[in-house]
Amino acid sequence: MSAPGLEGLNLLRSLVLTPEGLTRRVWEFGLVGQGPYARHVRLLPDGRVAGNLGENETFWRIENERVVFLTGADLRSTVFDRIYLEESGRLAMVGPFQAPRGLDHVLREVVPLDALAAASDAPEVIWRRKQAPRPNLVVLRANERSLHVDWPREMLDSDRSWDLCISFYGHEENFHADSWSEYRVLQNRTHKFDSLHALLHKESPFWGYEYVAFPDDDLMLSWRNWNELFAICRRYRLDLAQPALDLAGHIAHPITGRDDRFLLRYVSFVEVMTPIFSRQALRACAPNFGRSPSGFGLDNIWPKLLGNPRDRMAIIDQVPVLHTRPPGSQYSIDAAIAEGNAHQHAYDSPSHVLEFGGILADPSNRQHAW
Amino acid sequence: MARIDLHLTWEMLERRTWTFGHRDNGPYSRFVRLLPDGRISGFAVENVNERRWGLEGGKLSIIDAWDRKTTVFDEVHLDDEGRLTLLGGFRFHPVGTPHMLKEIPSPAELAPAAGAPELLVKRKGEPRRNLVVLRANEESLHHQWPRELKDDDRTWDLCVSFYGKDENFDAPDFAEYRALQNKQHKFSALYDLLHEGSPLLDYDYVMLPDDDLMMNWRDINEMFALCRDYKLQLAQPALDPSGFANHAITLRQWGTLLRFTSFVELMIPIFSREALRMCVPTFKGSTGGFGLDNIWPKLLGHPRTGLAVLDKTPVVHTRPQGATYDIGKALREGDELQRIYDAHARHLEYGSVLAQPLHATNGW
Repeated sequence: MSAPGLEGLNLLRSLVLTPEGLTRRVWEFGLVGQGPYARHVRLLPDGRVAGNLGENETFWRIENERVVFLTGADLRSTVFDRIYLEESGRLAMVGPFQAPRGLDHVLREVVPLDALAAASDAPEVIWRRKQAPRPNLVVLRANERSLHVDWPREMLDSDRSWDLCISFYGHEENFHADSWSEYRVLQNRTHKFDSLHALLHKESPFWGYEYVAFPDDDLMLSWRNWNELFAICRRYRLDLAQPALDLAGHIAHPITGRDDRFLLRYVSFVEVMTPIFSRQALRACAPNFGRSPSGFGLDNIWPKLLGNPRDRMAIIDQVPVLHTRPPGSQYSIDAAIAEGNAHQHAYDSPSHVLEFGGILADPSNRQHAW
Repeated sequence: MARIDLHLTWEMLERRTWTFGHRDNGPYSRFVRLLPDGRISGFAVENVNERRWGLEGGKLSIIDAWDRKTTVFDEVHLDDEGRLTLLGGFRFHPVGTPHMLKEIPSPAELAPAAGAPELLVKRKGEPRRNLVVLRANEESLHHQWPRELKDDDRTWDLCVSFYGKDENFDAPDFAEYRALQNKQHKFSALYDLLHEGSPLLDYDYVMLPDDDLMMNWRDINEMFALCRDYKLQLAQPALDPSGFANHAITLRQWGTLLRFTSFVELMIPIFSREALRMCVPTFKGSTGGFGLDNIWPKLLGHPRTGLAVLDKTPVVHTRPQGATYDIGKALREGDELQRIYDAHARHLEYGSVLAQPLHATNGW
């Protein structure tokens, strides 16, 4: 016997669900017999549900070998008490919505839209390293005009908390060793994000870093700024962040402009220009880098993949950087926008640019009542 | 005191208490601990030169806000009592006297299991994930807490530490644990109850409320869920303005879901598992509880996003601050505690998470 809308599926008598098995799958969620409310849903390792769902689907948990959805107050909202197996090997889980009664929800596994690149297609990375890997990594798309050679240092090389990888998009004859990058790779036939997708393949050595930043090459900031950015990411346990943009430079999204009242602002949007990912967040987001070579639209999808956290994505106002060139000076804006729209549609992820709160630059003093 | 050649490991350092300063002057900080997550308890939050500690090649270092080592302790001394003293030059004053981290005795530890009060256990299923340890007498409001959820959805066990009359201790209660502790004040009773090896320490989050608070079961669920979701170390629900409040910072604010603060009041603290183990020793011998809530943030290293007042789930404090004890004695006790732990009152708001997000305009 199968429920309506689930004809052709086999009810499983028993299946041991493991967090590892569940968190790597992608799902659709909705009422049995109707179209899904949400596509591209994921169960995150920290117990949150990603997929732009509502308050009723804030958390997930395994209880008595069944997946349970919970509200923000940790009340069970759906208990998936039946598990089906499709012939393709994909799972579907069905169970009653707790209030109102009489409705069954289904969480149905789908084929992921994206994947990490295969190691066999990886570009050749040239290593030049003198010491053990540092905790963090900057992967810079650079050509002959890249500003990184002019970055002020403001500290010793031995204090640098990050390795540098140059993904070079200039002329081949100009691709040669510089004095201080640890890795370099020639990628002058692809755009920023398809290059990064190829670089972050399944067996990439870059997965060992705590935080990884992907700046454009038209930003002016110092070595010491990078140290501080990474230190703030770790201190505030951020999953995805960017430096605020100095108001003297070019700003595409007003939310990214520096607000000097804050040390950082919690936001729903971090731009493709200089994202800094935690290791876990990069695992969640890197597979989709390949879907939008220009990067357009990617920054609207990352928050969804990370479960729309309210305190894990931030614009770091304490360390503003100068964006020296206007956007679109090196590619076709129209094509990029079309690419971004298609991408957002595929992931069912409209753009929303929100501020959730922040940490003040100067703590405010509350009057003592005594 | 003898200089020794010692390859330091975290296991050697984690249980020790220190003072920190220049070798030839009095210490800057009279109470320092290295925290498991790499932060340091013992320096001002704003201090940029001493943000974290690191251990490399058997040497302890102090690290600044830009992730640079500012002090590397390359000399280790051991005294006759097994205490360590570490010395190392300060990077920005290399010709000056070295920095010194000098071990001192720990002011207090968890109570030993021997001599613990009897804990009566009445449970149907597995322990839930969180715990409420309530000091209650016959008049406790917890019997009147509205439920607003099924017992099956409750994510917390209840332990009643009863301070009423002996003959009323057996009154029916939904609590999973009960202990009769009617000869002590709140925090010294809790100190005895939360001893080394106690099953009450084995919970993700533990709330220690007074019994004159009106709240409902569902809100308690939500408080614990917020603590977990925001990875808080120490939090409290905001106090509804219709009730009594002692500190302005604890009053409920509209517009915020939670505020990251430097202070959480002892009336209803919620501790994470790790924070509880760090803070329970301070409960030892406390009568009024005064000063305790000024010490806890210090012990936790003054985190900027680790302490919070939860505005989403306000509670009503139904009685004014009681004076069932000698206020003068309690204040002196508080001063002494603050002296030992080198801590003082600070009521700051570091930031917040908004109840409703602000819509920013998008340039495209």
